[in-house]
Amino acid sequence: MITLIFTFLRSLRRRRLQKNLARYKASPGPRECVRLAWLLFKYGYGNQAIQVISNARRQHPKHGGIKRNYRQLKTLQVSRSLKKVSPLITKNASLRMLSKACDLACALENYDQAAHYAAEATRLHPDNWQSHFVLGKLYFHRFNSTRDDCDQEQALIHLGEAYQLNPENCEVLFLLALTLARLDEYETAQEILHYLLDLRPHDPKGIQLLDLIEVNLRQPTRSDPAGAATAANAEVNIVVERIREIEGNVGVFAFNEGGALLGRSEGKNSTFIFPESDDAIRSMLTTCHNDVSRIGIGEFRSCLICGEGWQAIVRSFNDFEIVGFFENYAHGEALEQEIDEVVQESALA
Amino acid sequence: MREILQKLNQQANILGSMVITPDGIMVAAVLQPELEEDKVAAFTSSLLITLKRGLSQLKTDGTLSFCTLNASEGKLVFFDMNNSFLVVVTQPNTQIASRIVAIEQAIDEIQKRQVA
Repeated sequence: MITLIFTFLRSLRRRRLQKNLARYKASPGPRECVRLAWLLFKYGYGNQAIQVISNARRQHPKHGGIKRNYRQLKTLQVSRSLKKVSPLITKNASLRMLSKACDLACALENYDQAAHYAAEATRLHPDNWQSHFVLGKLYFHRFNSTRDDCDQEQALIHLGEAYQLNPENCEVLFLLALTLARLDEYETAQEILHYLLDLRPHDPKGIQLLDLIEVNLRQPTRSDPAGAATAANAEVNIVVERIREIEGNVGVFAFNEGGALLGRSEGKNSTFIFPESDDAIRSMLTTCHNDVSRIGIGEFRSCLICGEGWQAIVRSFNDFEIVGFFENYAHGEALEQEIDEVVQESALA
Repeated sequence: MREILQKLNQQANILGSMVITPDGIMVAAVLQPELEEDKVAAFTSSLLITLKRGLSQLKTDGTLSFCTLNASEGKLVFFDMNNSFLVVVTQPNTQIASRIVAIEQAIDEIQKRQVA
């Protein structure tokens, strides 16, 4: 009898899923995507649910509902994975399991739980590079929310240990370089990234970070000393990188109040922006700033410019400004909000 | 043309609108008293010229179809009408998307008037 009920329920689920899948294939609008993603999640296909909602997010970047559902699903999926991993750890506390559990707890910003797993990893395998890597990652992520310098220093110590024990692991190398860059140790970070790229020449994250660091290393030669001082702020570069990840981005510039270039990152279509174009963009910024206050609509905040097949946005923050170029009409006015979110999530807000 | 702009201001509940040539010469304007026509026209033309110059150096074709400038106390929106620009001034939180039908209608009427 019980078997019959289970078989019936399973077929009911399958039919419901097939029906929603057919609706999604016929018209993959926001509502269909969200409904299918939640159904997949409910029936235990968490990864597929994330895939569906991520695709929807790319197709409808300005849809607030999709963004909200994406965040909810992602958090629930991480919690679900953590719940699955936790009992396995009590049975068999392997380093791999502890590392995974620590990463998942970090993703949920549950740093106490993450610290528990990391401590367990260190207790069981004190001389293993992975134990130090787990701790390094924990402190690195915790710094993002606490902004406590001790976390940053601890991250550097443990990542350094992991590097000493396993100098050829590219993940360790990248995170170590990023931590050093955040501490303004650009030259050491640059050396590590060169080493990483010797090991893995096409590592995209390594190439991007190296580009940003090289931009920063060039900054002190600029005539504007204030610009050079602010250029040391690696946070702006992290924001630049995050904006570069927004769908359709073909280039991002960051300037300080004095007009000095803090960071520049070219998108997938690197031919879009000439290296000489900094001045043209700077003059656009100057016009916006100097003249808008004279016409009685207050201080300049942002400017969205749309041409044939591209969009540009100038967004002003307290100490710096972002100029982003996009090849995607779908963004519209939501682009400003998206950039605001990136900045809010960073330490620059 | 002032009638079209007046109608647009009422329909779309906006603070003012203006038609200018790409060189910054004002053709018609219906703005609230606190906004000075000459200053808005001068700013608009200088911004358009700078934007066009900047964009032409960026391997784009330099054509500008739409531009929104957000400030703390208002918003300026420019629409390309081929041989002139429609400039709309709104409150800072106004969603242009919800006013777009009235704006496009006004653009159509202005373009017809220009052809005639």
